[in-house]
Amino acid sequence: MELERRGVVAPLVVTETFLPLVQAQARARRVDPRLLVVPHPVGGLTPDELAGRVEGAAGDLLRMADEARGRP
Amino acid sequence: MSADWDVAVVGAGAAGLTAARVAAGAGLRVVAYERLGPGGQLVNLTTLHDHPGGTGPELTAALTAAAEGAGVRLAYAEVTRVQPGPPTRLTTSEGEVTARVVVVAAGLSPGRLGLPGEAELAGRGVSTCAACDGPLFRGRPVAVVGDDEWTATEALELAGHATAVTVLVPGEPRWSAARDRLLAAQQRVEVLTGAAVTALRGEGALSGVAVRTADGERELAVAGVFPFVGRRGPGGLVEGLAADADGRLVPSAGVLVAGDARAGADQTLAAAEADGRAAGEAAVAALAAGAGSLRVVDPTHGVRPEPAGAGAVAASTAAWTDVALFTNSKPNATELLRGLGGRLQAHWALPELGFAAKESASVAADPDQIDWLAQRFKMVLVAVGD
Amino acid sequence: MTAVLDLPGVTEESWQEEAHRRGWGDGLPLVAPTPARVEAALAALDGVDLELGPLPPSGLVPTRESLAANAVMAGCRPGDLPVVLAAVRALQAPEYNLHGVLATTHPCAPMVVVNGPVRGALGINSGGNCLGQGTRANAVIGRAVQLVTTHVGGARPGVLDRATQGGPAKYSFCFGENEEDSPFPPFSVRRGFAPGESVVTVAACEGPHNVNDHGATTAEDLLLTIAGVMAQPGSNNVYVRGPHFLVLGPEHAATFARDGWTAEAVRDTLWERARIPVSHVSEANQRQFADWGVLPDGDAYPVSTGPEMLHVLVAGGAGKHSAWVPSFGATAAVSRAVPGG
Repeated sequence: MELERRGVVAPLVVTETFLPLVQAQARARRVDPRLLVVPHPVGGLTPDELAGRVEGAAGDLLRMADEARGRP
Repeated sequence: MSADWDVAVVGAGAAGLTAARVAAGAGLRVVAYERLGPGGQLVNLTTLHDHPGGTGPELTAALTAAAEGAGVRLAYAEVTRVQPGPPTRLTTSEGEVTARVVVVAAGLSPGRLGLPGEAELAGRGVSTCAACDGPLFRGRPVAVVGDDEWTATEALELAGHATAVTVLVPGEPRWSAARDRLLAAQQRVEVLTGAAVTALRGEGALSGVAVRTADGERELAVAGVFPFVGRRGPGGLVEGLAADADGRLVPSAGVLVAGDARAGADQTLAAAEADGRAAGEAAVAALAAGAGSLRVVDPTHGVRPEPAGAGAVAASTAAWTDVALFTNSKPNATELLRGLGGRLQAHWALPELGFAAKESASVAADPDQIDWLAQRFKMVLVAVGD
Repeated sequence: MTAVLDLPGVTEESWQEEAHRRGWGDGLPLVAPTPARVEAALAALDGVDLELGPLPPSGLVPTRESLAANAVMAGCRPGDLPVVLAAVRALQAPEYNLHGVLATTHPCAPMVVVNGPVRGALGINSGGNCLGQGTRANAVIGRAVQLVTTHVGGARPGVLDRATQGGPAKYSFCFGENEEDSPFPPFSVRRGFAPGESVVTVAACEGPHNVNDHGATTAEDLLLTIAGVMAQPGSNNVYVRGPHFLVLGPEHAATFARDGWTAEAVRDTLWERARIPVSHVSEANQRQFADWGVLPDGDAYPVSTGPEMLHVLVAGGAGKHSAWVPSFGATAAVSRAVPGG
């Protein structure tokens, strides 16, 4: 979140479980972070399951990135 | 709402050209799409029985000139799909266009018997245009198949060329009393009701048809057959618009339908012109009603709160090619980041990605590390919580 | 007036299509928020400060006009606006956790409970079928609250709203407490508001789960059924904890009252008795609960963290039905007075 304050586009990859925590931090810092929410957990996944997490979040990331960059 | 055209007319027959002219005459930007040439069914007619406009081609020329004079753009392309809007989107053989109002005046498809050999004999005895092909049958007998206004009209047309015209009506005639009187006055025309064509005869060229009536099956020696059965409206052309059993469209809010393409239309030239005029006026009225445009309060509007805390630090000079990953070193966090980063790298064709890692997930990020990332990179993908 | 959009060529007739094209609304027809309608609606908020902050995820603060525009779109009458405003104020409380609520896969909706005289003034149903369809005030107020977060907050389904299945309560979930037929003090009074004050309470909840007991003749009978309904292993309240609600039908409430039970006693006893046997939870799910720091209390799991997490209120008409309303867990019941109410 500090990075965003410094003008860096910094999407945070966060699992649903930790979302409330991250949001609470964001509120405290009065920032509205770009969040890429992935299902919990990430640790302990097989490579296939991990690839699924990547697949699930990639679309949002690319959209978010294009939007930040001002491209359609 | 911005659209390429105020009004798009599908079909440049009597109804379509009239609708287009009326709309353009009111100052609207109008395009009329036609697959082949203007005129539609009109070009089939040499004699106009219920119209003072001369021959079919003459009237076509007059209607076309009037439409173009009013500012209508004629576009020779086939419209294959209409998606109601606003704006309405039309898929054409020349690409996609949008219009604020659409008038569908696409008429009916040519007649079709649905018999074996019909396609092979097309132009070799099987025809759907009396005016075009009638002279080819001078001095020979022909049959016309159908029960509607067009059937009678084409039979009258052919009576001027052929030695005998047998009108084969599948059930009972539906044509008007006026047509009936005209047919009765023609010595060369015989009307056979309850007659079904069951086969086409002839190798290479038509020599006759097999006809079944209540009295049994018989052969009718004809050189030409003109089917006006099996004609279908443009059902399915407009998304979500209902059609009758013959594919003729039922108009509904936002989609205007004129001429023979409309369910329940009277199949006369006068009716087509009246329909076209009404559709053109309806298009003008619809757009006039919307001319002031609907004004609404933006339900998504909000104001940015005053930023609290320290002002933003000067932005870095990094460019969009400077992208990094920053992991918290938890199990799989780095792998997840590399996977996502790889997708972005491919998406933006980035030569490389920067990388930084917190030493441990349980400690705060090193301020120096943050400084380095903030100065060096435009975008940093961060894995914070697993 | 700010932020008036010109929609050239759009008529009242084509407005639905235009709204849909813009991604507005919930799928049902919307009233076009013309400046005249919005101004008329705003008359009900004369002299009232919105006292609203930024809505996640857009970070935008609703204006008077956009708040009213959403209320108009939902079908609100001007008089409904103060209740909508109170509800939006309530769901902005940090403990409500609006961002989490909007982004979760859980099917929670903003449940809006109304107490006080504003129920009668607006015709908010607290009696028969109050959780169902057919009452304008309930329908439009609940819907307006949802539209504000969707439009100003930008929490559109499939974009930020990541609900796996969602739930029908997300269209609208608003009802009044049936104070008149309740043997207990009004819910709002038990939450510290003055009697006679109009109050809105929100929490991010699932749609209500029916508790049918036609046989019970005593409070003890009812407690057994209700505890059984609550003691199921598939709600967020088991391991995310947080608030949950028991909405007693008046006849069930009367049974408790006749046997001398207060709302607090009902609540405390259900905390003791609504227990999920460990044997009803798979080992894999036990591990997942443990990841959240939730371990069984002996041979069973309690529902949430304590008796105070269960809120008991009364709503509905004749009949032997009550409802248990589980929540998202990571949320709280938040109450706000209705301005001018």
